[in-house]
Amino acid sequence: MNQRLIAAGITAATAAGLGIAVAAPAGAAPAADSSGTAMVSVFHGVPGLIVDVYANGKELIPDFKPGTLTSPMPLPAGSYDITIFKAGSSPKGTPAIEKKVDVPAGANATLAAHLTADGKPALDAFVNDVSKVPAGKARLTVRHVAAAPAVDVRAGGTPVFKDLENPKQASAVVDAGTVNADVVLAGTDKVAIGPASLKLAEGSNTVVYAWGSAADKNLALKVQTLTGMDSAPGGVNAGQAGLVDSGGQPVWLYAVGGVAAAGALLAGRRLAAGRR
Amino acid sequence: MRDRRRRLHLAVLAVCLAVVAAVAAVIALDRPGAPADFGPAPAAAGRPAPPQRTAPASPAAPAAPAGRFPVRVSEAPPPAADPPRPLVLAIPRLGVRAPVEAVGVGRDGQVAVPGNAEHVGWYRFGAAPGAAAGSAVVVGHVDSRTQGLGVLAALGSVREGDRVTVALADRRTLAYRVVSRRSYDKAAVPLARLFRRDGPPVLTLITCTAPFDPARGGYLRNLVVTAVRTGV
Repeated sequence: MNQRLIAAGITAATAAGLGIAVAAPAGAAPAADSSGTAMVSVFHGVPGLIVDVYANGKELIPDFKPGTLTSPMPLPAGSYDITIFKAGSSPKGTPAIEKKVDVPAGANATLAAHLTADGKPALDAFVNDVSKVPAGKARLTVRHVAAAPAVDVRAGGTPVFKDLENPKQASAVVDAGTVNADVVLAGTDKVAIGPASLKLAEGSNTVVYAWGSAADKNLALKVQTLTGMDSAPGGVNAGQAGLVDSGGQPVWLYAVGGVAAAGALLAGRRLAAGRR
Repeated sequence: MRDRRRRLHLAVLAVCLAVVAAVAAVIALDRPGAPADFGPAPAAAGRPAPPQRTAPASPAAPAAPAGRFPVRVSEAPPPAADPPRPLVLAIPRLGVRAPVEAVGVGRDGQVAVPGNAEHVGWYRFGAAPGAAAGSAVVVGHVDSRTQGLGVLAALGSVREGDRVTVALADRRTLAYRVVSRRSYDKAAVPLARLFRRDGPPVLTLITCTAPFDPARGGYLRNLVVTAVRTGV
């Protein structure tokens, strides 16, 4: 079951145990909810195994290589029996990984084939948070799908997410920009992956997968970028002094008019006085 | 002697009255409020629907969709490279020529307008001038307490058809033509439209405009000028 805990802009989410059970966040998926589709990406994070991916017995992705992430594809909403076989082997046999996944209409999700903490192949579905972020901000999500113990994720040397375990994810809304990130064993300074330069584009969700196997020394990062979560800024304050009057004319125009009026008055009075 | 003085007073009177009349005419012609609107309101552009692969003919059976699946192993594309950034904005007829800074948002969530009133700011999170889609937004001060009138005070005098150019870092210069000017109460600025990232490409210039009320935070309206590409 998915759980999403939102506290002060930080979301800690648990990967699905039985599939995607949470509807996409409100206003999320650009995919038409009405047409009953979901946007689904697939990530292959099991090192050393080229596979064919089947959904309900039909081949979905042939020759899927480790470290590959597909573009989001629209899938009809529904329940899928996902089976993954070693590439080229008969789909009649015993799959390397098998899992039933519910894909609700309007959801945006990533299926991740990966290793469990103790190194066994598994499949998990992660809901991608594609809700809006404020102007100037970006969402950063980290998913632990590696055969490794709990980790801390640091940006610029400071822990951003602590004690993240396989197969969980953590997410936060941060300033857009480039951060230098690394992954350390939880509570230590022992770097497991990285450092890597991550470009957190404004209005996007940068999803980082920590994948591979600590024992096989092939831990790595894979980055997925989901866009379209941008918001307009709050406004434009581009003036201070009131030098432009209500007619869109500068104040000096009024000054000139005033001086001229005073001059006219003075000249008029002199003229009148001269007549006497 | 007396006649000469009389003639002098008459002349002064005439000049002063003429100036008063001219000022009054300029002010009267510009009423009411902010500079007059012209041209169409900035267009909304909803996000284009993502490419949809049509589901099999039978829309029913949501529990177990059968039939073809969109088989696609396309690796997600890497993010696009940054576009060339704008360097100089010019409106030749009005004598405007302003260096362009790349700006983001301040702590208050508003666009961070350049502190130098002679500079303008390109909203770097939105579309860039020259991008295939979206509104490239350039902001600038109408005035500043310490620097007097700002460079975009000239927008009050802009006319339909005025040429606007943007010089880019890749040495290209883009030419635009002014199509509209609108003023909005700050509480009612269509920000989502002005800062849209898709839809037809436009250049959107934003500054502040009258009325000015220090008790209510200064200028109460935004002036928005929209321009479209005319080729290079």
